[in-house]
Amino acid sequence: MNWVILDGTEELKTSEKLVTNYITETMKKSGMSYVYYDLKNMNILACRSCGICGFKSPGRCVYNDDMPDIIRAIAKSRGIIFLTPIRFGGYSSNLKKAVDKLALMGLPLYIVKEGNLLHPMRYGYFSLVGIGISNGSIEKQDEAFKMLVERNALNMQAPHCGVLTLNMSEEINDIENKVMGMIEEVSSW
Amino acid sequence: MVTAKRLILINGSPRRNKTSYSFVRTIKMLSEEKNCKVEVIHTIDFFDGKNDLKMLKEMIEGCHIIGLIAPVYVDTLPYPTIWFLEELSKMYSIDLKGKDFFSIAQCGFPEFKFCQPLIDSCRFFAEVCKMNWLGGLGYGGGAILDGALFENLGKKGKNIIKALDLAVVDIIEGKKISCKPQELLTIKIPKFMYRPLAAYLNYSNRKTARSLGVSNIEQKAYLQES
Repeated sequence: MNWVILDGTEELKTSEKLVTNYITETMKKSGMSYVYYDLKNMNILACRSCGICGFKSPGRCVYNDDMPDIIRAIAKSRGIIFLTPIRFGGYSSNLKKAVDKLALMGLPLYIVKEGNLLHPMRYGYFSLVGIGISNGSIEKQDEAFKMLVERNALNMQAPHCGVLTLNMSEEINDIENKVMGMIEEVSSW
Repeated sequence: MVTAKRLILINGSPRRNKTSYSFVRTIKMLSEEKNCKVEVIHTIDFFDGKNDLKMLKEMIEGCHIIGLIAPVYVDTLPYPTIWFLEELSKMYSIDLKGKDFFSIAQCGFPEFKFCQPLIDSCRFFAEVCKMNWLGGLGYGGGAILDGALFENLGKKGKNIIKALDLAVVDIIEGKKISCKPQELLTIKIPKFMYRPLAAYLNYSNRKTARSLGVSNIEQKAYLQES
């Protein structure tokens, strides 16, 4: 298994569904394998920052939900693809419910890397791709989205990081070309 | 006669009484000293269904200023708080239009730059709802405060209160928050201190784990059981 796709798109948006389908189709054609998680249909409970996963039960959440499956898949993968509508320059709540719990993958220890104080990772290091979908021109939100994915990549110490923002008011050919370009880049990592 | 400003302070932390609430509590106190009327709500109460979002309509209609104070979870707002803002923008965009909005982010890492994506999200929320964005402040090292009262934190606490007081003056006047509060909130830890700090925190955290009977905090928990 190469990649883990965390899909934080919403049920009613057909445009988002089209993008999801196009990405998975293109990955298949490029010979990239993946495990796909449709987060809206998953039981992932909110992180309450209780701290128990830090010391009392290291790396394990006290709440029983679907997150362990996702973490096991990531542990065996090369990287993670976040797929989300761009919401206030960041992730949808649907994606964020899983992203918050990726904190389970960090150790309650610290390292210094390139001048940053960071947590070493429990299961190794994984590349990160963030794909944000918007339905209009939201230029500045695109920039904020990019910064967020890059910050996640920095904290996860991802070997590679890619960010793609797709505006659904663009021509479908342009969107397809952008997706294809990103998949080509990712497959070379 | 000048009408007293009405504020809604939103605690955007899943924990009701920790560091974000210390900020909420202090801003409430400072605003009330300036004759403002302040109501505090917790996003987690709405997320958990203890409170109904419908109760916010009257509150939003009657307020002048809304402030969101939240911890940084994995580089931005926590999931329940994003959900809350999504719901507000769907249900109350007309009522929120024209209201003043500000945010305060606090993160565990010492550098406040890690607060930026959270503050950006609040700015875009304000933009989407056509609110008047007054700016955001970031505090690095929030986890260490662990919900303490700022009055009990000596010089550090005094600086935080002074920063918030200056910010509150701007906020009440409907002005953008000036640079001074951020300067006062910024903890300056020299980069060369990071390695000894990391070594100390690692020693301390391993000791805590051992005291709880845990010998290996690096275990791959979810691989061991499958």
